Amino acid sequence: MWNKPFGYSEYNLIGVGLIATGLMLQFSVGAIDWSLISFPANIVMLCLFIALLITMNALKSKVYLFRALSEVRTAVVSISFVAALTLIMGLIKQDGQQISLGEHFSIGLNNMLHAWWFVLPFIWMTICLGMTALRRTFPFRTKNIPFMLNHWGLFIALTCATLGNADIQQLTMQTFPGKAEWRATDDNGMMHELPLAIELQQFSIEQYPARIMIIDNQFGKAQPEKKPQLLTTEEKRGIILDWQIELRKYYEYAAPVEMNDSVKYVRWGSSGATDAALVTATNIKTHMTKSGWISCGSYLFPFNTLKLSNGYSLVMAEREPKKFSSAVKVYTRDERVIKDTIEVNKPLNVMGWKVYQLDYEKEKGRWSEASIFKLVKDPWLPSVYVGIFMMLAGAVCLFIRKNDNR
Amino acid sequence: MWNYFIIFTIVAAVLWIIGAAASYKNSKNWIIYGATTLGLLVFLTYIILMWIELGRPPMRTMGETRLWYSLFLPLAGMITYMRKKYRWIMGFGTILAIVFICINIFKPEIHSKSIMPALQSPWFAPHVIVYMFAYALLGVAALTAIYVLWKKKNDISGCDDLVYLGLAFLTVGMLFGALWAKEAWGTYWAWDPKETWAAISWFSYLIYIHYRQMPSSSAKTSAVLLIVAFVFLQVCWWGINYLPAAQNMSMHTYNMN
Repeated sequence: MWNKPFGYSEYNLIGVGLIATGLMLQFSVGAIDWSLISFPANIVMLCLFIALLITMNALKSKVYLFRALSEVRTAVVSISFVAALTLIMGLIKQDGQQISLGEHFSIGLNNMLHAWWFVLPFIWMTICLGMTALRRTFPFRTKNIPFMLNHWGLFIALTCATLGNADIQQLTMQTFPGKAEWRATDDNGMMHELPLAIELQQFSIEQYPARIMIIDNQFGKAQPEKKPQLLTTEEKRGIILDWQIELRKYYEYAAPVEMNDSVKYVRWGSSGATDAALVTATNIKTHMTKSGWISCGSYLFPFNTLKLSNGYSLVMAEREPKKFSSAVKVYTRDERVIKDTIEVNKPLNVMGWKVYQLDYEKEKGRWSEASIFKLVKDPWLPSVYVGIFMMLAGAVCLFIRKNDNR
Repeated sequence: MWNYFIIFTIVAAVLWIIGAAASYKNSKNWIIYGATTLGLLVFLTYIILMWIELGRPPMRTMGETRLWYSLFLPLAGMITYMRKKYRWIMGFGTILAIVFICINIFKPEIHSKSIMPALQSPWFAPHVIVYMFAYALLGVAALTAIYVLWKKKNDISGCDDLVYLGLAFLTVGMLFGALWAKEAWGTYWAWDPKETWAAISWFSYLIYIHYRQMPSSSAKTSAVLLIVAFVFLQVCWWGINYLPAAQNMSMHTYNMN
């Protein structure tokens, strides 16, 4: 053991040692509290980390242990440890809870991102990565550029994403039309005041056409079970199972009116209006005919189905949202007013914040008045993106790789 | 459009079989590449027609992603054949593509036209296409690895190019996913189960690449590594839908709702 150069057993022992150390830390000081390394602690740590790498790189001709960090065998073993630990994470449900130091002294299998024994091998791999990148950077050779892009890219992305994590602010803001809102809450329900205010002009939602389907009365599953068939309200007729279905009337905005022992729908355009259709279903085999109104219901009115037989009913499914967006006015502290529309996949950038369309009043569906935004500030994002774009460039280099890196 | 699926696929499959048989018999190049390319074009035409009909990229459901896989397998097989001249590789690619086509015929998992707002993004198409191409290349690499183990060969260097190319696509797919995630829900990496498994499979291929750099690396271990990595990739692609640890957790299990 410990003869130079190190073999697999030495490196495996280092990995096991790190996990053991991590376990001891886990049970003695408790799970990792990432919020402790927020600014400026993370900047200090980054500087120390870089200084450590440079020092080790400078001393590597004297100290074998430092030299060994950039050996390919270390890479194989450290990535294997990281992969194995990530595999455990992939097999066990994670609860993603935030943790304060000194709170959790358990092994932390359900919250591995906060577990020392998970993080230490990651740090080991990152150190190896940094040392390897340094070795290939100095002396500089053009043919090493793809190697440098891949390795530095991952190093920068990993380091900055980890150290910058505590500086990320994620807030949720609920807005109502015509009211400027400058307060938002974090995950713990704490209220924060922002340097900007958002006034919702209008929330609007576009929906896919309503769909008519046959479900079994017992389990409510769409039929035929293996390959459910649907009829949209844009089509006038169609066949599902043995039933020929004809759409006689369709109101996009309607309200029910109670008749003697049945329900009829009339056009009605106010908040809470539901979709309703008058349908006739004829059984192709038995020629039995059923007629009646079906509706998907809204927050105001219940849904309505048409019973075809003891086994099946004709129903209208709730309409799915196609697009939802919020027209907003944003007031900033430096007295600018920005008018824009925020929608899913199209966040708004303002004063270092990204404003995302997160949600609306789901139970009200298309009649939602409120719009819910997610606001994210991530000061380390540019540096993570530098890493990501270096890796992308490195991947492009892999396409055109020549067999010269042996 | 699904009703015409069988017609397009039979034509494409026959052309691919002709190409694969020609490569196995070392026939003329124009037959090999001509037939396979024609088959690819027929299949691609189907995908494009379906794209037009749906009004959105056909990439949302498992059935739809399998379409791309069926397209890329023979393509990856042909590219490998061009470079390495394995006689059997195009046959294997074709058989696998046909298996996926059959799954689509017998268990289509097709859904309505609707696509949730989070998926309506210019990142959607490149993210999925790049991933599917990576899966196809790494699938061919895994097949080669099985062949190496089966025949007890001592040389697996033929896989290296495939893995480098596959890993490049895998990396691009993953990073596109990260950039898209930032635009869609504000975090580039959230350790969502799909992302965790993407990381596991990505690390596995990194292990292979680094292991292959060692002079003492053995073909057998390398082959096993490739097969295991490919299994992880399968978990990432569809296995995750059945994984207890990922139930109700992943933002990626769109096709299940």
